[in-house]
Amino acid sequence: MAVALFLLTLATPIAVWQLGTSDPFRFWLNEDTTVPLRVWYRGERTAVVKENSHSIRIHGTPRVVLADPSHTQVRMAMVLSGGGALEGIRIRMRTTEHNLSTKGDEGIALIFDRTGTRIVDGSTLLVQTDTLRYEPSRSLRIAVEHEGMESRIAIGCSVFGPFRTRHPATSQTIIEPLGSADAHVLVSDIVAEGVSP
Amino acid sequence: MTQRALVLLALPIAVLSIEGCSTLSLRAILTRTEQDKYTITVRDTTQQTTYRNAPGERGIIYPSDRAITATRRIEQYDSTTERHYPNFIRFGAFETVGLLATASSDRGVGGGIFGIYLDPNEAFSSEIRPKSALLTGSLYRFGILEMPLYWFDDAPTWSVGTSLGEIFQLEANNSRAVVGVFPLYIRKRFYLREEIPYVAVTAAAGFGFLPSQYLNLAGSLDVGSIGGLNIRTYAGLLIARSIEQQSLVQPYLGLGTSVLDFLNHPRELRRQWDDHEHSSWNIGALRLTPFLLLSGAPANSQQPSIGFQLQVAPTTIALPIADNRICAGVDLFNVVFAFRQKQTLQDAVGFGYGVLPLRIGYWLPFGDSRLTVESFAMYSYFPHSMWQVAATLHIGALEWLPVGISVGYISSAGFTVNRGTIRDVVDATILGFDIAYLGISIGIAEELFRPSQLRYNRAVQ
Repeated sequence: MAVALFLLTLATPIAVWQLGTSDPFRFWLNEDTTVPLRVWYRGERTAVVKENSHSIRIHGTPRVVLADPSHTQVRMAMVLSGGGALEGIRIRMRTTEHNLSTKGDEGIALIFDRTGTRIVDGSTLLVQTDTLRYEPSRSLRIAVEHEGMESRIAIGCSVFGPFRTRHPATSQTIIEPLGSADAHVLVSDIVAEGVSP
Repeated sequence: MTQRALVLLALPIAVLSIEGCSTLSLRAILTRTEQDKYTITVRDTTQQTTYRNAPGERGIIYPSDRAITATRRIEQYDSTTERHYPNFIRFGAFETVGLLATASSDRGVGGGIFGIYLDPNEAFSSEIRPKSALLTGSLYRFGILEMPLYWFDDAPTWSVGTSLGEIFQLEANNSRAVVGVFPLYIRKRFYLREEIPYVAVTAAAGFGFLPSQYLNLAGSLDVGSIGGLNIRTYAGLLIARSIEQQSLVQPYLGLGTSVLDFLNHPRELRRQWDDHEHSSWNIGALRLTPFLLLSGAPANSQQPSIGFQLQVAPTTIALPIADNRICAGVDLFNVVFAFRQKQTLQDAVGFGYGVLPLRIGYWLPFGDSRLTVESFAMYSYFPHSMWQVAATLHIGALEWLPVGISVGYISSAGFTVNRGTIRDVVDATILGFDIAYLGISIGIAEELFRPSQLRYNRAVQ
């Protein structure tokens, strides 16, 4: 009994430290690979669910950050599959969530919705097409690559870029579902690799 | 009491040693660090053109041999920015509570309204004689930590916490004393006021494992923190086995205060430390002021007449009056050793100490710097009357270690102790004194805040 009480006493500060956290809105993907990705988001904690080690399911419209902590110049791919309440998705690159929310640094944004696809760099429109549209329940692979000043974006079989930009490469890729609070999207097969160290 | 204090001190040290200081360092516990990484790429192309004209007369029009060398150069700069956020809901150094009706009225500890106004014969001592008192018991907590707890579908304002130790001294007799090391507490706050100073109703359930086993169910009305100061009223039920293995079920009411006790609203956990609002001009763990007596030393006192003042947990809160320069403050303890006087039978000392002395003053910063002049009047009302007027030039050149020059006057009515820790430490007859002094103040783990860091000025911005 005394040993158990002693162990409980020892365990208490550890439990407090491990249970209590000021930012529970994070977890890791691809933990078993050489390029683990950190998922971090704002909003309700249940808004982002880890389906498996390569996939997340997003409910509502939280801002979800995928970050490769060890690389800024990366090649990343994912497969998107959304529901009927989802209007589309916006993927921001070459910025950080902090810079976006505090400084309005929007980086390069890929907006993929029911009207088509747009790629914008700040206020500059880089690409606009209405042949590539979001369609519910249809899976679409999106890949991005950042190397130096250039970015390439592939949607399905279409490749856009390279775009030269003044935005620095960052370790974050920000996913913002568009639509109502009922929207949900499955982001699966998320993979990344560093382009240069 | 001394044994309990030793246990409280030794066990946490042992645990911290076992668990490793590196992983439980205070900074890692209290601060969450976020990193952003960037790579900036600069591309530059240099073109070098070389003409190699053939020698000799070749007429006006002739082919030239031109070579263009284009050198493409890419430079990449990696940069990392770090942001630091608070990682805790509550972090406190010391809390003291006076408990009502925890024993018959003639067996009280006599700690007064906050449980800390102890008889100087018994302060810091293990021998407490029963006294007739309304607030019969005391509760002390040291090293309090609360972290946010996300459960019940992320219901807000839950926290899980512990403390280095807590002592329920329900009466003068130790048989019903309940002591816990690293007790586990679950708390839920209901905020009534969401601006500083916060007002909240808190429900708490605490479990103590060693050396006493207990369950503490409590509700409290909390006001604070402002400058690390808090006022709390408690109502609770303690179900315990005391350190002398006596089972007890004890309801209690209490009124308490705490110092160096910081509370973060959950929204503040997403605000960087640099952007946090401050209500105080200074907060510190200790301030030591060794001084030279300018007047008031008795003729046969030791020469040179050097004394010191020790302020424990000095806090100066800016009041939103006169450009926030009017300030009020409090220390947990204020100790003044003025002089030592050689006498035939027993030495005498000019000594005074105050519990929660009150201070009011004028804080004059120079620009937006940590160079400031504080002039103040301080009054100690317990256990004896002592007042002080002084002016200090604070220089916050080193982080957490500001120094200063202080000049002032202290008058103490003196008091008598016949036994106890104070008597043992002082080991002399205690005299009242009236002294003028010139000293050097050293703030240990003290922070001086710039005018721009005050929340009143931030609101203006």
